[in-house]
Amino acid sequence: MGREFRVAWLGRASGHDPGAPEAALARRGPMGTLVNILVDGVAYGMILFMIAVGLSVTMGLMRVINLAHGGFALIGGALAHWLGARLGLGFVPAAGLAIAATVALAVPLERVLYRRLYGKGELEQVLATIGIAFLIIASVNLLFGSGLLAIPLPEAIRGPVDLGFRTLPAHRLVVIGAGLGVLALLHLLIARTRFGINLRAAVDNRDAAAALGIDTGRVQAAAFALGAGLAALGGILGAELLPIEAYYPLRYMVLFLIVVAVGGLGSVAGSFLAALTLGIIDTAARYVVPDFGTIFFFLAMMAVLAVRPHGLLGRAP
Amino acid sequence: MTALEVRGLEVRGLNRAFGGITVARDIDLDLPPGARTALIGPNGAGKSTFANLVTGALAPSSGEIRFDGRDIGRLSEAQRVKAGIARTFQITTLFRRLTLRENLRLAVLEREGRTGRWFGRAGGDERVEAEIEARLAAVGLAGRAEARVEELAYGQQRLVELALTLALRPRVLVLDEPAAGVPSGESHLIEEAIAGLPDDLAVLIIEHDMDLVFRLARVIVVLVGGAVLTRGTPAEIAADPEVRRLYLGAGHG
Amino acid sequence: MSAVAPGRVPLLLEALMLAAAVAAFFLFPYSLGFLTRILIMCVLVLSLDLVLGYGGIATLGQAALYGSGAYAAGLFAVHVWPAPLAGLAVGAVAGAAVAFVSGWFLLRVRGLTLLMLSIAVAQVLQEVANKARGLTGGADGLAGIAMDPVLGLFAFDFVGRTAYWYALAVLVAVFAFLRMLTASPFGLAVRGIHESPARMAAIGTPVHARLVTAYTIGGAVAGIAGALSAQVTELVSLEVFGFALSAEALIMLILGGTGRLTGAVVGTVVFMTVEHVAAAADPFNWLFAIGALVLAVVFFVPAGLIGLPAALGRLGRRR
Repeated sequence: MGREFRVAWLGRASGHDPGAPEAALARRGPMGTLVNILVDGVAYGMILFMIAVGLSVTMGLMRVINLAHGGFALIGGALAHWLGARLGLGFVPAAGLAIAATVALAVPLERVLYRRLYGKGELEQVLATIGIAFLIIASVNLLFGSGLLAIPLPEAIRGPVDLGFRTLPAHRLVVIGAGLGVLALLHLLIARTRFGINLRAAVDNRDAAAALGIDTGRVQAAAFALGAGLAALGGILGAELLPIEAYYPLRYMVLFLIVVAVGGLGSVAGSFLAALTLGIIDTAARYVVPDFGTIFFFLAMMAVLAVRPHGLLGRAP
Repeated sequence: MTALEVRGLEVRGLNRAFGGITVARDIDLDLPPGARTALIGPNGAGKSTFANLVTGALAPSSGEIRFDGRDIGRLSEAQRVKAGIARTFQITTLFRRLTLRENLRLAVLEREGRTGRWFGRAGGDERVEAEIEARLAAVGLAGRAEARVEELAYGQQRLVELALTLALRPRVLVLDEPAAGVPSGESHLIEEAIAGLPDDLAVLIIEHDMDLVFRLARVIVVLVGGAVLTRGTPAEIAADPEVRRLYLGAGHG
Repeated sequence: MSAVAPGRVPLLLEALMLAAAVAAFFLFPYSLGFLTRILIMCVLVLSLDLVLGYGGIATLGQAALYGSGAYAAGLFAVHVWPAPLAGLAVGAVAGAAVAFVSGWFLLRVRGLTLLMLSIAVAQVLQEVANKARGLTGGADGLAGIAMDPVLGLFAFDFVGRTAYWYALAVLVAVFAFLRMLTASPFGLAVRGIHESPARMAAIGTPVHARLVTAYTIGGAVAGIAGALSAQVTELVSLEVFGFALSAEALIMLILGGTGRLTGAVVGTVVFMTVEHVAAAADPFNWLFAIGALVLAVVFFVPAGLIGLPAALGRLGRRR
């Protein structure tokens, strides 16, 4: 109903719950807690990075405000749920197919809908992408209902991993590893390939890039698809922290936008820095001063934007 | 005001650097009332930068700008307009979706300090509306008052910008490439408008169109690499060997 | 989407809307609560039209001002004096004050940064209200608001009749004020800043000061909407600062059409009615209806629903 819809928008900006932080504090003492905060915070940051980086690049490249970007994380997560929990596929094939399917959906979406938005005013883009988000939510709702869609993780990463000096949840380590992998992959892609060069040129100055003969349309489509795929990956891996359910795109929309704004439009490194910083600050605040909730998160954002209005690594357009 | 105070614009030792790049180097320039001075130079010489420095859109690294003896270096752009310095832009900057009438109305109302008023219709003052009609007629656009700026041809938009700027009753007018982008069939309108400017107005024209410059200017200042190369009357400049090399060598006409 | 001057027949649309509002009272006597909520929302969306439609200030934080007005009016009624009109004034002042202080800083930036900071202000206020349980009731909300009769004559009744006319009267007054303001020299200046801040500075306008003034007035109007809400529902919850409210107000405004004031009203009525009807009919699939509606408006009637008659007219002429 309308009620449910209302509650779904940004209940809590940062969305996730580390789970009984006070108990953890009592068990492990301050040093152990610090490690917990770091691990949880970094893992959370990696999830934010994977999902938001595509948004940052497409917003910097196409100058389109896309409030439906979280929808790709949702689609990926919902498909992984269906393939894994309902059809019984293993985690890796389920995740792989889900990501591929999300990319396959993103390509025509960009061609048919987003391409028509590039020239339009900001307000129209906001309205249209909110409409797209609504449609994605309604579709997932129709197919899977409005409850939580759990993605069954393989046995291997469900438990703790003994690293010798301490034990850490395997899932968090996998997420951190994946995040670093994505960063490395993107760095290689952008620094070493022709696509990367074209992308950087187009982000820097689209008209000049087009004048140089770069097919900016294809660059945009490819960047959009890549961003969608990464968002799906982040959604699947992050399902423990940001639960997959129909209202996901609206619930976490502001969160992703904050990462993009703080990191700077069009900057991969900026998204990484912003995601990690915000992830750690938010997790730390939840452990140490849980009463204050999201104030620190937003104050941190305001502080960064006050000093660097275009984000940590962004530039004035 | 005594004769001593009406000195117009005086620029002394104006400098501006961005990091390691100096875009304005030790520029001196005077614009007394009635001046018709042209600022010429190759692309990237710093002409628009100079316009920005004078009008307050850009702050200098060092140097002085005085208007009627008063140091205006600390004044904001809007404050300098109130003091009497106005400009047109290289790329026509108007209120595109508003009508010509509304564009000029804003200038007149702002000049009279009335744009802070919440009450009364914006277009309700007959005297103001009559002035708007007269100014539009002066640039030959009398019948188009209800058209939106974006509906006009580019040359006509340039004229509107000139009319709007004159509505501010400035004492110093900076015209940044007034003929730029105007189709050759319409450029005579611009020239006539500039030729018809009030005699006591100090005018600085930044231009590439040499015909326009030589016909309208009484003093020409040549800017290269941010610094003044030379200055003089049109005849002196035309005969100057360095200037000839600068322009004829590069293929400019 | 820029502001457009009033249409051919002056105030015809406004007269029709007023007539419709009066008729609604008699046609839907059991839905007065819902209809009153629409009226209150209209006031909020009108405040956003001033700020965003006319001023071009892209904000997703109007709820910060609405909520400030709601809590201020609610606390005023509980602790000082439960007179409705005085409460409206308090709400207006609270909204204006928060808008003035936050606007001074917010309006130094534009674009995505402004958007995010406006969201942050509302979120921080929500957290503060949450923590100040003693004063605001925290997550339980501020309750026990019992209002005196309006002007000492019209007591609030259970059915909501007084509330409806009260809210309608406030909406009409606010609308009239904004009509006058947007037609004034100040209104023209605000539209000028929206069109070209560079040109406004170049004609001598103190741009930042004008924008802050416009934002402050918008804050006052939003504060009035919040105060109305507190008085009519007799409860103030944390949701008055909620992002959902800011976002929905934005959707309603763009849907109806920015920069005309009438668009704000049309968008609010259409969105809330569709939400109400579709959600009641099928609570799970109504988002399809809204999503499709929104996309249709963007692609076919970009000026908003208020531009629909003109668009249909053009369609007719093409045949």
